[in-house]
Amino acid sequence: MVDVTVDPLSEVPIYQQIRDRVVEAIAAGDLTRGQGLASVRSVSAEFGINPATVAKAYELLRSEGLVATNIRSGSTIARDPSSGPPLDGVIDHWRARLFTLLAEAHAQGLTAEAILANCQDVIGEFGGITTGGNERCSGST
Amino acid sequence: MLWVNLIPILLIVAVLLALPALSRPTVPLGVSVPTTRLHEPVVHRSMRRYRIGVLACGVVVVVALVLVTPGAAAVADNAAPFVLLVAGGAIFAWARRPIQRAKAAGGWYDGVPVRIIARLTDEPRRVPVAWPWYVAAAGVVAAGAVVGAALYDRQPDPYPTHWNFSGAADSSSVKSPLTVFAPLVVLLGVVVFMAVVGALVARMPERRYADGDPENAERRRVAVQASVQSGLGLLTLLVTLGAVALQIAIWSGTSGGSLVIAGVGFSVLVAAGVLILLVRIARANSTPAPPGDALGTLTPAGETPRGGGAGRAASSNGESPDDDACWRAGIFYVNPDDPSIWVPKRMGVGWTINFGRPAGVVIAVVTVLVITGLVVVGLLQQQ
Repeated sequence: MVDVTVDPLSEVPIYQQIRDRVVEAIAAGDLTRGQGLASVRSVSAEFGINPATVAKAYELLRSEGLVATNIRSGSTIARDPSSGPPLDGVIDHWRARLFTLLAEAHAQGLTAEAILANCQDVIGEFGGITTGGNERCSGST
Repeated sequence: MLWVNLIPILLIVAVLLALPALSRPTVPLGVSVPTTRLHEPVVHRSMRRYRIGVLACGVVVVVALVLVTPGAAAVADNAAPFVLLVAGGAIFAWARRPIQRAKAAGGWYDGVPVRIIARLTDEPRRVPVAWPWYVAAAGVVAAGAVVGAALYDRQPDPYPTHWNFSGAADSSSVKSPLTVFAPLVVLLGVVVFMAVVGALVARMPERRYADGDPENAERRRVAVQASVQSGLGLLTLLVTLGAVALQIAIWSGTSGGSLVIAGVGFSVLVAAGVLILLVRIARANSTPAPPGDALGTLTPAGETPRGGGAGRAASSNGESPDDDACWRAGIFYVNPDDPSIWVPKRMGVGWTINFGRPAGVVIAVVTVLVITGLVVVGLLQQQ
């Protein structure tokens, strides 16, 4: 049972928040491959928001390969940490965003060690993949 | 005026007075308020204004009914409940205004974090129907039938089928198993109907509300739903017990004053059942959820999911959004963006129509037409 909480007044669009929460839940092991997601209609009805917003979040997750939708079984989680190497292109996109994120920390005066320690902490919250977290954070640099 | 005509009046006054307690505490008189502002003096003042207003209206209507001339009594008795409902609506609109003004002037939602919640996984989440109560009620009807079979030979022919308010039979028909057991068949129908209502309630769309403590939103929803289910079941059992006891009294030859007392006893039992249902719902609404055991809600990154600042009133965890703009007059929901046709009511228990959806408007129009049609047909038949 996974609930998602969204800030309707945030500058971050609601579809992006839903997408982010799903990604975080997959990383944390709360959502695993094959698990069914509630329909766009039922999620939007419970939020009381336009179904197009939820559909956009699901579409984004589909384009990232994290969710698959078929007519019979609805939307399911298609990938999780145990699914093997990431899809082509996904990591390039992620690295581009990571570059900005780490640059922010470095520009603010955080040392490389402090940045890595922070990465380690965050990865620690994902539970299942704490071991070897350092490599994941520092990547292939 | 007959004393029975006071029953709907008292019932309406009781329901109007109970309405705030049957609603989420964060919508006093249908105005969205953050949990941190619930104890503002203006909120308490407005609530008192509403209660006193409703009570005063009830007293005025009862006094008017007592004083009305016998010639106009029939019209007055029929009109009184509607007059009271309209007056109650006006008092509601008048009493909530100070909260709206204080909220707008004080910027109660400025800088307050708000959250909406939805279930992401697709497992069922129904609160079970209180089947044992309905089974017990059906058992009571069956036991009544056994008693009826034993007393069947003692029943008079013609068999009385209706009594006036002094407990004297004023209508009868030829004795047959159909006429003797008809009340029990109707009663069984009531039990089945109530069970169906319970099953429908369990299937209706639900919402979780952040209400200052998003982690326990699901727990609060389940508590209210469970109180509705068990309350409906218990009400059914009490009604069945009272009706079967009344029927056995009739079969045993009770009439006159004793029958009136039995009838009053039955009414008291039904009222007690309704009261228990309302009290259960009110308690479920007002009881804060126990700490701990968060139900796996995914909160935005960086937020502490449970507790928050120790000792402080829940505030930073997220309030339900201020959706006053979607609730016309605090009662009618109009939100074209919301795909739901049925949404949980803001005041009281149950669901209301989303007038922002075409299907919702159709349902409302059809309902109004059907009710108007029934009233017109009833009036024509009376003439």
